[in-house]
Amino acid sequence: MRKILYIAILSLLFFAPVERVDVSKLLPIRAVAVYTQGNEVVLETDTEHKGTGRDVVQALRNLKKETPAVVYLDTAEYLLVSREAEIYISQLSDWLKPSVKVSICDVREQVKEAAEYLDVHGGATELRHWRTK
Amino acid sequence: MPEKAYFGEMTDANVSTIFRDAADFVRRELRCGEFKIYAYAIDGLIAAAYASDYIFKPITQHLQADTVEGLYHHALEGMIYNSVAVPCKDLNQIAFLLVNGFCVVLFPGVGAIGFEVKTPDKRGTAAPQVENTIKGAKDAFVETVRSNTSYVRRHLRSPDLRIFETQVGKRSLTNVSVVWLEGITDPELVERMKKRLSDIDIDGMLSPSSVEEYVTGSRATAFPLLQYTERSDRFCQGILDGRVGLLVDGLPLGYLAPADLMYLMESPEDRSRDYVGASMVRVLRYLALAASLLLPGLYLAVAAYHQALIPLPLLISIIESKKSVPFTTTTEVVGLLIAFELLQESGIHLPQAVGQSVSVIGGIVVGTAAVEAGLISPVALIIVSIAGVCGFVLPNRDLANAVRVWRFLIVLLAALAGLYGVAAGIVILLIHLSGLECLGVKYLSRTGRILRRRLEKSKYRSNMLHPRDRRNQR
Repeated sequence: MRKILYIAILSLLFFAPVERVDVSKLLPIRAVAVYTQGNEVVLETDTEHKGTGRDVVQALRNLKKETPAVVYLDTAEYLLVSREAEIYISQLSDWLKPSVKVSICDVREQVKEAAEYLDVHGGATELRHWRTK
Repeated sequence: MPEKAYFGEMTDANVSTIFRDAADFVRRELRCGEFKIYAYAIDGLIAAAYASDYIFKPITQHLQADTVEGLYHHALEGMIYNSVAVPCKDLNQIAFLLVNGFCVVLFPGVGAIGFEVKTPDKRGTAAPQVENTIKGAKDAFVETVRSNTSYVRRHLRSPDLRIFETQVGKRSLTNVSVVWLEGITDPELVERMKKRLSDIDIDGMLSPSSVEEYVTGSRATAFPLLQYTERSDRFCQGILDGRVGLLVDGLPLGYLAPADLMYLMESPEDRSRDYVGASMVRVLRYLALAASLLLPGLYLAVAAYHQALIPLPLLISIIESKKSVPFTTTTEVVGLLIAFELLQESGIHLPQAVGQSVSVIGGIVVGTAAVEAGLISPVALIIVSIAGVCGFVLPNRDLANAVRVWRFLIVLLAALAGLYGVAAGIVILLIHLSGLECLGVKYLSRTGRILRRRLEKSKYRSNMLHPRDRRNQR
């Protein structure tokens, strides 16, 4: 009886809803910039990786595809959004944690520097406040 | 008594035949007036000086009679002044007494008498090596069962102390003593222990595992079902609690049954310090048990599956530290655990001084070099080291070894399914533990009381053991 129970428990593990991504393969992102370029949305990270697409979902998919490591957005602290890309903030809140600080600014190619600037000066609104707006 | 039967009359030829080709067998002819008698002994098991003074001297100086029968009766009635004189019924008894340190004197055609002239202890009383305490008693068990029973008697001078002696092992004829307190210990426990011993059918009972596996019924478990102790005071405390003790000739240990998880987590130090300090250390010990068992598995689970559970600064630090490591976290943790086990084993099998050097070189030098070379991450090394050190906090080595085995299993389950695997491992472990029992007492029957109670408030013995007298003080 016990053995059957053990086998049942172990068998259930094969159906556990988990995805294995080793921590060594993660690429932690500190800042994400969102802006538009023509008709496309561009997501750019402080690690100098870019993803473009017709919408945020496609841009993010491209970003993940183009980056050699696994993009890990849970570490993101800053979201830099250009004025015309403001409409995508609510969509991005599905992938970024609520405490991410949002700044409305047009930052291209210098996301890392912008994050360092914000480290010192801060003052941005958190993403959770955008969600409640 | 030996299972192998020796048939025939008690004659010189038959006794000599039993021990033929045994270089240490000593046979001596003695003359008492006109009669010839024979003395036998096993060299090394008897003290030659005692034999000379208390057997041969009285025989040659005082033993006289008109017949051999008269000699036999005079010897038995005290002319040979020896405290223990056992008349032998047959050849089997002669053989048994000889291998137990007796000198047997054969009176041809009448009978034989065994006189006890055992060698004194091969090793004097020493302080406990493993279960050492600062304030506690320093008399550890030795290899001679009779010395061990004397230690027990000195701690428990109650006339109600019972010692049942039997022989186990067809070839080794190992003396095994079952010890209990009449009026306290549940007679059912004693009977179960005696039955277990009588059911054992092996050639030799020489190693601790042969005692533990046969007495407990050799369950498929890594967890100890008997508690061993090298401390006679701790052994006696167990007897006072209503447990059954087991002393085996040749092993410098005493066994206590039944054993449950709570007993195995108790340390002799608990009773040699105040209850507040002892309780705090006990809490730490249980935390160490959890850390030793779960820490590598938990680390592997969160590092490989649930990174979102790691606080951000720590996660960044882990990712940074693993940048140059060419192995996955699973390989790293499993490899480090194996390396740790290898180091531990090498330390045990080497002489103490060399073993310590190997541990230092292996642990610090190789560990640091491996981190600096980027072969392993410092976090994984720290996690496995903490788990290993926590294992050493456990007071019972057998329990610590069981935790080592289960630590591996939980790591493998964590590698398979992350925290779901760890949870499954814990559930399987609890099911496994709940199914274990020793002498009919469940392994998890006493749970919940981690803190040590004040002694003056501990008025009752544990009901789990069904003691005849539950109250241990007014």
